Amino acid sequence: MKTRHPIPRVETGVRNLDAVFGGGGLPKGSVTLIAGPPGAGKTILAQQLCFHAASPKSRILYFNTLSEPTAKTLRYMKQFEFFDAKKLEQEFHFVDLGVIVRSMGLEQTSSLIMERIKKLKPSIVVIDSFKTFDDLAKSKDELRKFAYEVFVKLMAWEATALLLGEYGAHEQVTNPLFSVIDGLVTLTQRESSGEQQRFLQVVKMRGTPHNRDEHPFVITSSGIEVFAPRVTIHREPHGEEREPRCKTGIEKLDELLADGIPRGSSLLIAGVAGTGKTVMSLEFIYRGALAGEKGILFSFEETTERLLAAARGMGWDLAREIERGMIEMVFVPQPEIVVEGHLLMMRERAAALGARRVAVDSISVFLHKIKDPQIAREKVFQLASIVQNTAAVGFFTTDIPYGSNQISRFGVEETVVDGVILLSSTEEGFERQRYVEVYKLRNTAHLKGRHSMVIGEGGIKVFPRYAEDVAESPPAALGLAERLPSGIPGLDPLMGGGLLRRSATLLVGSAGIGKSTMGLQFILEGVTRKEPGLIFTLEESPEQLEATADALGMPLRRWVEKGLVEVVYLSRERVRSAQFLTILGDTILRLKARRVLLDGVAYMQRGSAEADDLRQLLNKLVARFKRLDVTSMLTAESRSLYFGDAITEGGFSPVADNLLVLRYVSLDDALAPAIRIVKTRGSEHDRSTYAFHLGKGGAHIARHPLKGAVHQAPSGKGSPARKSSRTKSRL
Amino acid sequence: MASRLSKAFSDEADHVGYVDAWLDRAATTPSPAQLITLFERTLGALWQRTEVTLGEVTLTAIVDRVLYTASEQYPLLSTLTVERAGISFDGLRTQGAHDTNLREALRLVLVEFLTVLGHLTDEILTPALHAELSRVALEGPGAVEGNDDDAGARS
Repeated sequence: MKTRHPIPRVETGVRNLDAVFGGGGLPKGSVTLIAGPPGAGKTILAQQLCFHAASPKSRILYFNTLSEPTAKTLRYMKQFEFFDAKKLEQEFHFVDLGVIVRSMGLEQTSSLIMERIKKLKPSIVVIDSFKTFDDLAKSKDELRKFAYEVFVKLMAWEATALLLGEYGAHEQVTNPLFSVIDGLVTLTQRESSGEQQRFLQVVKMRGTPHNRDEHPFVITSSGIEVFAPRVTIHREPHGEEREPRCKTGIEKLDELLADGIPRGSSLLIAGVAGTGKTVMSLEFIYRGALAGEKGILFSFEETTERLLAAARGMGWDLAREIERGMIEMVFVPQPEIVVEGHLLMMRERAAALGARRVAVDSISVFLHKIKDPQIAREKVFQLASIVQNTAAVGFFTTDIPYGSNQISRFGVEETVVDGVILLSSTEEGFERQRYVEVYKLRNTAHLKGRHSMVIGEGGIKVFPRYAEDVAESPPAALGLAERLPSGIPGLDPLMGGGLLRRSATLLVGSAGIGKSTMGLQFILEGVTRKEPGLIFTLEESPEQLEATADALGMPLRRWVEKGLVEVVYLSRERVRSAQFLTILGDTILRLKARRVLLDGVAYMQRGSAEADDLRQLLNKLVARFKRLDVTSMLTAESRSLYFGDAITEGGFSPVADNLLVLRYVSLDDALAPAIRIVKTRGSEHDRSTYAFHLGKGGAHIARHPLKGAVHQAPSGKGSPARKSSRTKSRL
Repeated sequence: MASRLSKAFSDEADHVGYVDAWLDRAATTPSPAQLITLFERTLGALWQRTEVTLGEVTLTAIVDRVLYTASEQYPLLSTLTVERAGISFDGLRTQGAHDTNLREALRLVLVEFLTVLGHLTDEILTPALHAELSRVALEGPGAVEGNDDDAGARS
């Protein structure tokens, strides 16, 4: 079988142009016309190519015609970095044809050209400009004959020829030259996206599978640089997942992302202004560096200095990671953005660093000049391809327009990325609260829904609304074998011998009736059994709680000092209901607590939130406690002072295993606190009402139940509730 | 059936080897006049064969290059001229017949001709030109030797 030899190529030395030609450069021996208006860059392109190709074995013959004096050509050429004086002396031969063309006509010129070619045997011949011959030819026939003869001779000498000329698009069908050339490259410039841009197009190139698109290019001191991401950025086949998935390192965000982000994925970090997109992308890069993964952040909005300052504000030593070579920051001012060029720059910089994390902040600014959403989509796809091909993980921030239902700037970006993290904020009271939602993440069973998020010292902290373990299956049933003493004298016999391990007990009662005291007793009893205790107080400060305990002779302070009890104040002003689950769970794990008191659950709810939300949260909390092997007691304030029909006004009965109602009763014409056990799960219990008193050591329940009706309020007596400022309306 | 020459030089681009083998077989000890006639006929045949495909203008340009390059090495070849019908050897007969480099010079012209054409056409014409070359050796009055295997070249 006959071997097919690819046509040898002449590398152009122009960035990305060889790829556009589709085969690695200009076909050797071809005659290519570079057409374009004055100032389009024809001469620079030809000279750059020639200097690149020039060598002792590859000489260049450059004919200058009438269009530009050779002296000028040489002077301007010297300004470019590709200029090499040594090559100019030895391998680059200039011939000024000006006088000959003017005085001798085309036939003599043809002979002279051949004379020079025979003498030098060049690899590349440039005629700048060939249009001069057009102007001098007396007829189309004469021009056709001249051009044909020159081309045939160039072909016979196997010279690769570049003919330059100020040819317009209309001439492509009327000028005979266009039918005999092998290749046609047009250079144009026009306004695009509000600014003048240069474009290169390979209209024709015989024998090559060249790309026919228009490609933007720039002329810098380095010469011409063509941007052709459509040609040069291809998404490579995605193999099997072999590497562990990426964990962002952002606190609790990874819980939302389940197994982590598959390598090669790109995620949009979407949100309106001020929702924390930049911080998230910055922290993503920073946490990666700390975990040994190199990262690069391309910023089109904030300068590197400002980002470093923002990082310092979070307590991150980003500068050290940059020094260590783990992080690179690249800032491109908005007016200087050239989308195609910077796409290629991003690819090269990410590859050169060996980046495993790539952040772009933001793609909405990066692509702001693009009006067509489909082109924006293509550019995001190319960006995502860069990330995929390097097996990195990309975070691309995007600004969502205010008031729209879009989840990206252009409304199309989300279709080409692997995931979307939505950041939002809502006004709650006098504050704005941040939320994060994993809107989409391919091949990952992520946690859905909005989750609270705060940005502060240390960075971003996410508070998952519920833990995955809670969501998947109900907690195991309570074991009936093990009962724990409550620590409240007189209570355990009423509850079948004590509290079942991992049970949740809800104390509902009037303000000041002794709920917190009973809760303290429950915790302190645990300490005597070497069960670390944790008190979450939503109303009283730890100091107040300790003072109350001191007054009742309860050793709370001592155990706190010894580290067996920890009191955590959760400010209703600072902690959102959506954050409780995470905070409580984490603290329990840290202290290895076995008993937990959650004092004042009504304060977990703020504003006009529905009681259903609180019930849902309490359900999740109780389930979490049980999974963590914690026996818990929760207190809730009620506006009811006396026993009546309503047991729990908030409808919390199903939440707890045990429900204890504390109310006032009238005894001997005075009000006295009393307790009634309404519900104990898995136990027989006494349904009577018992008086109790608060004294040294806490609450003590009477041995005998009260007799007669106890729900009547005493006539003419003032209501204790009216004296309390802490009565909650919902309970 | 491939000729012995074809078998010996399966690499079509090995024009030097092919020409040398052909020359050894075709003309062992020819006189200068016989040599010139042999090459005149050979290059004439190759011209005829190539002109059909490439056209006169292109072929003229190629041969012009071949002769120019060869003349740089052997000035006696500058007596060869390109005409519409092919290469004229008249000048060489009168001025260069006794040059000691005649054989090498003519050999170079043939090698260059095949090489340049081979480059320009990606060796597409090479089998046909090699076959033409073999045929000249067998049939022409300048032919000195031949054998039956060469018949394959004609097929």
